[in-house]
Amino acid sequence: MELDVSTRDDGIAVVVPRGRLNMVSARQLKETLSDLVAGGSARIVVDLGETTFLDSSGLGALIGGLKAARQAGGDLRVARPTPAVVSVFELTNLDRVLRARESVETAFDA
Amino acid sequence: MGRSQVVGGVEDERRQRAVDGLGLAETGSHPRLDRITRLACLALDVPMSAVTVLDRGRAWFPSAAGFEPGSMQAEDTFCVTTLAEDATEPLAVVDAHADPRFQDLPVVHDGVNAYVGLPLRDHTGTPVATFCVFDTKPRELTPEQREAFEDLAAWAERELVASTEMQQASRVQASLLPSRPVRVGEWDVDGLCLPALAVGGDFYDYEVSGGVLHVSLGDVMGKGTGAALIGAATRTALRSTSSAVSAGVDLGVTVTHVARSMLDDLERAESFVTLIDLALDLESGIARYVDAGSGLLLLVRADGTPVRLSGRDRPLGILPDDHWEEVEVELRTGDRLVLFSDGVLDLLEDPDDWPRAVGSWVAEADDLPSFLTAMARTATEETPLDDITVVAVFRQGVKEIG
Repeated sequence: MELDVSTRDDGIAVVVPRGRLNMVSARQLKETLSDLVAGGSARIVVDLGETTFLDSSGLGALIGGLKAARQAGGDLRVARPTPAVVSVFELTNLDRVLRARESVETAFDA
Repeated sequence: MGRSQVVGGVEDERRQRAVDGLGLAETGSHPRLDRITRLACLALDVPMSAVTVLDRGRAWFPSAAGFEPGSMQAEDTFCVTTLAEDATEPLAVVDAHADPRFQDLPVVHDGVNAYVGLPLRDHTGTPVATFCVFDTKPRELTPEQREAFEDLAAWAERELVASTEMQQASRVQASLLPSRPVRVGEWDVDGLCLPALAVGGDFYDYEVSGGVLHVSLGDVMGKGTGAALIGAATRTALRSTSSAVSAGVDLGVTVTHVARSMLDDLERAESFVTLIDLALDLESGIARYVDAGSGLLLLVRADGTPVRLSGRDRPLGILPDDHWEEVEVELRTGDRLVLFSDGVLDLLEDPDDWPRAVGSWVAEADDLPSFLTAMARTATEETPLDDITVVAVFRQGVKEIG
């Protein structure tokens, strides 16, 4: 998995995990998310448009990031999840906590 | 004689207990050790390498490269001396034919001439085995080779001890599963759990009390030892609700109680648990269940129609103020119910279409044992990456007379 991190002009951090988000790569995502929150970026969009696979560890990294972001007064939102990822969100009934946003740009609009 | 001290006496008794504690199977293969002995032959340019265990006066080889491992008298080995000297430096024999300690050993008559061996110790420091290499011509290892030999020996020691601890953990975890199927009246209940690693994050449990069957199947985030510890704790918390469950207390209440008691632990471990908790009244066939983010609960009606059962509740450990709700369904004559973990989805060509695929496995099985046997066979063939757990509850059909 590759992981791109950038910060937009409005201060929102955008994280793009590319490829398979499994036990090994989830650790990397988790660290990236907690570093962002610790560094003051508590508003995070995770762009899942190129995430081909997500297992429970990957889900754990997203939930961990969400909790940390909310504790710091921000939020974590997920954008453009692939069908494989959507089905994991639905199966685990986490589709309301991790509500899929249509685009990275508008993820924090509502 | 120095050698006889290793095949008798107090030291030997302690070592023997430690060897027994390794739980190595003399008949089984040990691929993790085989990797190291094979590499030793390559790296040190020797024809033979082995991990040797001295066991009740005999020597046998959990791993051997370059020769057919049999068993021999302990006193006929170089390794008995390596263990007796119990040194931290390797025992190096350059030319056994010229060494009065070894020139009469049968293996030396058979052509072995050079030997290097080092004791391998368990976590208490007791020497339990040796790592050794042999050559047919007199020789000495170069300093580089000797360093490589010690590295390989340290690796073998770690594998020997680690695999032992994991085997024990694996046995303990297996012992936490129900020990036998349930057969009460028209009902058959059984399950299987195949961890992807030595231990896993899946667990299941069932028991019958007061005419109520209480079944749970959980899947802890991740795999391996950490997940197994959380799984064992969750199982215990669920067990503690059994008397309330058989007394008819709403499962939404009991699961919420379990979730509250687990929350701190789950938050600290940064983990969560998906769960199906189910109570079945064996008299009426009414099942009540909570689906905590599992979604993998399938009812296959007597005519073979798969009905997906699921709730809308989240896993345990996600939100601190979450709550869970009970859902009801009736199991009629001939109906079959299966609960499973998401590792099963890895076995399917199209995981999104799982109700149809799993439904046909369930419907086509003659009975519960043959269903689980077929599942286990499929799982073993596919070498799954995730833990695989299945629990099935079958209500027997009326036998057709014809």
